[in-house]
Amino acid sequence: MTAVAEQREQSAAAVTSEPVPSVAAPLLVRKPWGLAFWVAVGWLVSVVVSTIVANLVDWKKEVDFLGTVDVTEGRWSKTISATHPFGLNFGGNDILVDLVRGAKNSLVIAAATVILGFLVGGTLGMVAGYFRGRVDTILSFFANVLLSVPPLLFILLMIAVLSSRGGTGEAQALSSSVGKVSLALGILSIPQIFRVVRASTIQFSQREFVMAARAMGAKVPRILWGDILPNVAKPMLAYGLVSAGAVMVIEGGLSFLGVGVGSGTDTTAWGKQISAASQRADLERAPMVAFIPGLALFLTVLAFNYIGDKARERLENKQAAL
Amino acid sequence: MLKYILRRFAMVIPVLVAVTMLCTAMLSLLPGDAAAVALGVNATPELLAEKRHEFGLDRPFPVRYAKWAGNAVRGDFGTSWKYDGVQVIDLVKQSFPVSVTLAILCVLLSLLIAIPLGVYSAYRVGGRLDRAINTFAFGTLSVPGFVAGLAVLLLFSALFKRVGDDGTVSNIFLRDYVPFFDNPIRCLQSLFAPAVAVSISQSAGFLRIIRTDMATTLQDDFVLMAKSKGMSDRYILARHAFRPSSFTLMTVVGVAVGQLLGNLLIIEGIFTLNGLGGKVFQAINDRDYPVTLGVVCIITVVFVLTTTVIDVLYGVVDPRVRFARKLA
Repeated sequence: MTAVAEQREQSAAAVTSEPVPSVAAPLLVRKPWGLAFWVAVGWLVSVVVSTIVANLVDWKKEVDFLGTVDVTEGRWSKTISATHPFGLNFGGNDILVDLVRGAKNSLVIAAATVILGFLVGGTLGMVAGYFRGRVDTILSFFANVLLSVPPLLFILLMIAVLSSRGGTGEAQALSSSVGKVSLALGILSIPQIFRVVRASTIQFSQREFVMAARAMGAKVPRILWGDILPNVAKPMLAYGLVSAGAVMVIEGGLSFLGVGVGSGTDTTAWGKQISAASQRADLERAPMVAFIPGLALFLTVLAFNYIGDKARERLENKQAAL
Repeated sequence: MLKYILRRFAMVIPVLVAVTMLCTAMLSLLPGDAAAVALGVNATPELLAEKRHEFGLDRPFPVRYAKWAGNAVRGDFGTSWKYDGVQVIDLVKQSFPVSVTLAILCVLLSLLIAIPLGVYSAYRVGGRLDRAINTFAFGTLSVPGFVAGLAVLLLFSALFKRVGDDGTVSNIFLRDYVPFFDNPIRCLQSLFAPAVAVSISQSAGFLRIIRTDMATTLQDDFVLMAKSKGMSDRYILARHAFRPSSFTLMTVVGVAVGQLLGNLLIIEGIFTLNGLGGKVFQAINDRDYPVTLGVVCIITVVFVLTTTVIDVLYGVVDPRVRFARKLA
């Protein structure tokens, strides 16, 4: 239930003059996380653990090619067996194996991007929000500039710049690595995180405890680190989780376009697995080959969003209780 | 008011300068030599040097930027390096209408879904239908665009397939793009499927915004006042509560139109539409600087202008903002 709904219920209670619960009591009682939350956590944990395990194992390639064998409708379902519970894809690989292995890059990129975004964007945001003035004006201007560039196109441009390092003469096709994609996505996430952290810092630096610290002669780094950061960081945790989901979607889109991680026939990314089966003829013939990794991506993003949403709810409650 | 509008529009210029400079700088970092690309296999050192001079690659960055900007202001974005002599502006003219029509259609369709559901949700906050709508919206918000695109493609190709007498297969929704002003109905048919794909998550975003704002407005005293005057709920929702609840939505819609232009790249690819995003993608691959720069610049202009116009419109729609600005 959202804060609005709670508010409405409270005012409804007041109007009908039912016994009004004391204001402090319901806020201090923690709502349980709920089953769906633990399912989401469970899903994420199993994705992470299984991808780590799967990437340690050396899988040998299966030779049964779905694409080249007699292509009739429902062919994909015939490849399902006890050894291949999800069947084989058009490259002749086991879908389950690909699925489990493919999570790694997405997750690493999501984590790296969010960490980079928070380290740089968060630091700059706190500095701008605390000092205001000219520093704030300049940093905000740059954030605005980065936010005005068409995001997807800017990422493509950045990947092009990063991937052509060292190349001469010949124009290569866009190729990338985990590092390049993370860097490109991280740079683009900086202005957004900057804005959120800045707004939050402005709010907190006007609070009494910051003024008290300042009056006691605390130095700026101490105030930022000891007084403001702990307050700003908590809501940012929820924001970070939601951002991780958003990053996974963009990363999936990049692999779908063929500029994500992995080169040639190597399909170790969900986006790539989806795109490999996304030709209209293939899609109509064996839709599940594309939709199994698609569903995995959806569920992972959903899990990130749900956990982030729940975390935000709880943190907001806590703030209200202060 | 006029002063405010002028000041607001003046702020657009430094942003545009910075964006284009940033893109020019990034493009100049690309070592993949455009001269070599343009000449292909018959490149000799002399020819390369000549071509580099023609493209202006032998001049320093500030000179190149100044020259480009000077021409761009007059609407001249140069010629493509890859396709000899083709004007960038002509390439844009081909694909700009596709992307803009699609972006607008996406937003309209999303609003058409989001507003009634969001308003109803806010009216019955906590009710069964509200909870159902919200759970559904939360789910669709997490659907990656390209997965939605493939699902819609599959669904539409199965549902609307027509096999003609001569065995030709046609589909009323999956057909070639027709410009809106040539044949509006055919145009909408050709763009309907991608618009549905985008609206799946876009409408969920809009819905959550309108629901939150509307629920807050409904707590206001003037709503109680209207109710006590005996006005019907429907009238209050439509005439009193909707307008003050629509401001956040307005901003988000404006941002969405601008962002979609570039972000539609993947969806346009899935539905084989020749849009702006695809142009840039191709151009980046080809190291075709003028096309990349020109299209990115035009999308940015559209984005910045829409957000600015909406900012200004705030004052028109909301008397409180108008008043505050007058004081400032």
